[in-house]
Amino acid sequence: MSAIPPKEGWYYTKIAKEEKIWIGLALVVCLGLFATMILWHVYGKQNPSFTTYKTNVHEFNALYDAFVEKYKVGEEHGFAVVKPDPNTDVFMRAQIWRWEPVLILKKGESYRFHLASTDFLHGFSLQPINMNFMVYPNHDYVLTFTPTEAGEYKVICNEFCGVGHHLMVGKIVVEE
Amino acid sequence: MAKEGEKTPFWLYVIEDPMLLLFMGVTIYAVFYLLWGVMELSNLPPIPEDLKKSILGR
Repeated sequence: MSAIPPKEGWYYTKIAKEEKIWIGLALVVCLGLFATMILWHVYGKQNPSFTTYKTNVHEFNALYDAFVEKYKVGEEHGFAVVKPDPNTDVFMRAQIWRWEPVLILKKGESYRFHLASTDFLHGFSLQPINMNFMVYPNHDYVLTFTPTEAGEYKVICNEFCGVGHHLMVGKIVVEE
Repeated sequence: MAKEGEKTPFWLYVIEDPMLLLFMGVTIYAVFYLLWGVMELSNLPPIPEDLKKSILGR
């Protein structure tokens, strides 16, 4: 199917050396890109979780409530302020249109974050570091974070989730 | 196109038809990607009981 049909039997002609080299180079580039994709997943700065659990709204809410009750240290604009112990599981909930609770973490300590949505698809976007993860309902995404710099970080939703999407801003404070 | 008197192999029909190649390129990818997703979703484990116990305290 071309304007100038090739000669009959062209499939059986020998491939020229130059063409073989080009095919080889293209294959090397393809394999290189494929390897980069895998290596980036392991060594890149934004490594998505290899751990995801199946959950439901009821179960995740129960875990979230128990977590907040255990580590709550105050309130800010109606949001619970929670200071979990280092090396513990941290539960963060996304729902229209809030990321909660406000977290106070310690610099240099690891935390195992559990992220879940209780309604629609939301996005966990940690700013200004710009780390981004999708958060689906009924799935618990586990991410291990080790804050390396003290300061105040925002968690914004980067998946459009309705009229209040732009108001969906959470806060993480990292202390020295 | 095979040599005269020779039966045209099936793969020649396939690579001769760009629309078929386009269709196959999209369809094969889509089917395998969807199957992969369904497999991943159906194999997700529940939240471990130990973790639930440590948080809920029961």
